[in-house]
Amino acid sequence: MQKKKIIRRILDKTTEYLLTFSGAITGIAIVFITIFLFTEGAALFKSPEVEQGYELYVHAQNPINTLSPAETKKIFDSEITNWKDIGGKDGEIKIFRIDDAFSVYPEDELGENYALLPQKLGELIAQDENILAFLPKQYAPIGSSVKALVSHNIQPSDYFLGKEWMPTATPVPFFGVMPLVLGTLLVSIVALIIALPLGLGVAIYLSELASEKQRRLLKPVIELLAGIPSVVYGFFGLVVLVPAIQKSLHLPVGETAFTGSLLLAIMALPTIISVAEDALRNTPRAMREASLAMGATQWQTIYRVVVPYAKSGISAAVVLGIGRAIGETMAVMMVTGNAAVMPHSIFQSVRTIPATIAAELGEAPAGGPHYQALFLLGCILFVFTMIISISAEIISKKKNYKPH
Amino acid sequence: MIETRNINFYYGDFHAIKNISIAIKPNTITAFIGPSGCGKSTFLRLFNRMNDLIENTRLEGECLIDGKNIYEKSTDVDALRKRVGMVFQKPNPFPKTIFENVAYGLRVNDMGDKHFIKQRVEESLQAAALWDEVKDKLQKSAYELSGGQQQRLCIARALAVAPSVILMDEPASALDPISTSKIEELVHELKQHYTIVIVTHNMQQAARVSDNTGFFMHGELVEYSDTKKMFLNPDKESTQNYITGRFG
Repeated sequence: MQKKKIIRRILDKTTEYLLTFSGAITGIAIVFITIFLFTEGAALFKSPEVEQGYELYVHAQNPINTLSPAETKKIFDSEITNWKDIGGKDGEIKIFRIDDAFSVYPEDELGENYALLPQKLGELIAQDENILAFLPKQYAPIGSSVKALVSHNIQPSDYFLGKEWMPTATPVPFFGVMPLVLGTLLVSIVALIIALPLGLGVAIYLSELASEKQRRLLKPVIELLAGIPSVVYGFFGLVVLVPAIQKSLHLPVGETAFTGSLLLAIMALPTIISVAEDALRNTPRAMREASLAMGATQWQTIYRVVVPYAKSGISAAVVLGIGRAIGETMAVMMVTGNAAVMPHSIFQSVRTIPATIAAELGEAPAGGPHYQALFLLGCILFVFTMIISISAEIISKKKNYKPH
Repeated sequence: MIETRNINFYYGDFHAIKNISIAIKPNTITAFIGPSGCGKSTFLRLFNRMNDLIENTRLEGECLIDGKNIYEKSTDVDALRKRVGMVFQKPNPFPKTIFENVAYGLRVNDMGDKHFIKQRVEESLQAAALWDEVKDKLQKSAYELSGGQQQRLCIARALAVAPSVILMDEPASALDPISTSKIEELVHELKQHYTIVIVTHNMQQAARVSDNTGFFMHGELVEYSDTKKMFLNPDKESTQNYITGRFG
């Protein structure tokens, strides 16, 4: 008897410690992931604007000391061709890239491992005041008549408010996340506008109006839909929705934000329905009876008593729905066309944050600005979902007269 | 005036109410007593058609309130339930404020403007002997009240729509003795204006509050008579046995 008691106590204690331990591990892991995300992301603002490992060089007599990313882009796109336009002396800008060096100097003049290249480049720049050389730091030109343009670090405002996402552009990549943020919001919000009323409608139908037989048939089918992998949904979207939308709306392409929204709505519906229905059915029978016994109709009972009672469960359904919509990657990537441009209408191709991360992280050199920019995108997504969860929490707590 | 004529009620195959005919006079308190599962609550819930909510049930016979069969097809069930109020076994206030709980029936039945509702809520709370306790916290959640207060709130809620009949399904069974006696006093007060039918497990309660008592067993109405007669000198032996606590 005594032995049994001791064994039971040891078991109890072990379970207790195991639970505490796993809880602590989970907590630490979450904190660690968050810190990792944000430190990796924040490092972006310590990177120079110019492509990593490169620098811009001019003649020492050139009055220009620095170029903004926009100016640099325009110069390399041949939209600005004269130093005068950016506040320098009159003279045509001559762009010089590292490849050009090989057409000026035969390879045998450059010595072993191009050891003589920096010096030659220095001489070349010294000859021409109008030259703008975009060269690897490795071969930085040597000479007193050469100066490197001061390169600023990437500014947070360029990142968060920038309207261009061109992470691999050269010589200056653009990491403006506005098109991605707006694309994500557009796709998710339209998806929710479609999914929420439908989902709540079906949930109310299932919990309040459907017969036991109908519910027993429908509920498992709906829950099954929630378990289909998103890539399968994406495939369905690509094969069915995209051509259907293209034809029915007479669009040049069917891969639009709207297609993504529609597909996301379809994907979020089972979750919303299932969670909301559970919440509605949890409303005690006594509540319904009390309301009906007062002479309220079935509809009055539903919207005055049942829905308010299930409010916190319904907001959980909404949060899960939004979470699914905002974080969904694969399916959206397959049907929205992925054009990283500022969205002007919902019938236009957009790119979402998760799709960008998924598509680009593989080809972004680890530790580089592009890589960090993608991490920061992850942080933005993280903050989005956090805001949604917190506001849902506040909404469901507000004016909640339920028993404590 | 409530009258039933040869009422039979079935839950699926289970014959829950067996051929009961009864007449209840206005402005009286009628108590239904009997062992658990005897059908007294089911019978009570026939008067406001609450049993309609249960699937797979069947009814035979007539139930007349003020001379009209409430189970006719043309019956407006919502209007009927407004006329026949109900208080349940466990206090079941809505997850709303105290004020909104009482105003609920007025709102869903579109009765009167803001001013009228306010006045009516106060009157109902006073009639339910709760006003003095809650007048300063009308905007608080109904769940901040004690169990007994919640039950009186439910009574106030039922009174607000001015029913002529109030059905009470073991209204004090979940309450402590002090709250119970308050409810009993209240029931007694309400008799002046309402016809009250009360189901109870508590024999003393039936004896204390009611004018007439019906004794139910196995879905049958064994005996129905004046309360005094029932408790002092019942006609049937099974009634005698139940009242004296020999079974049940």
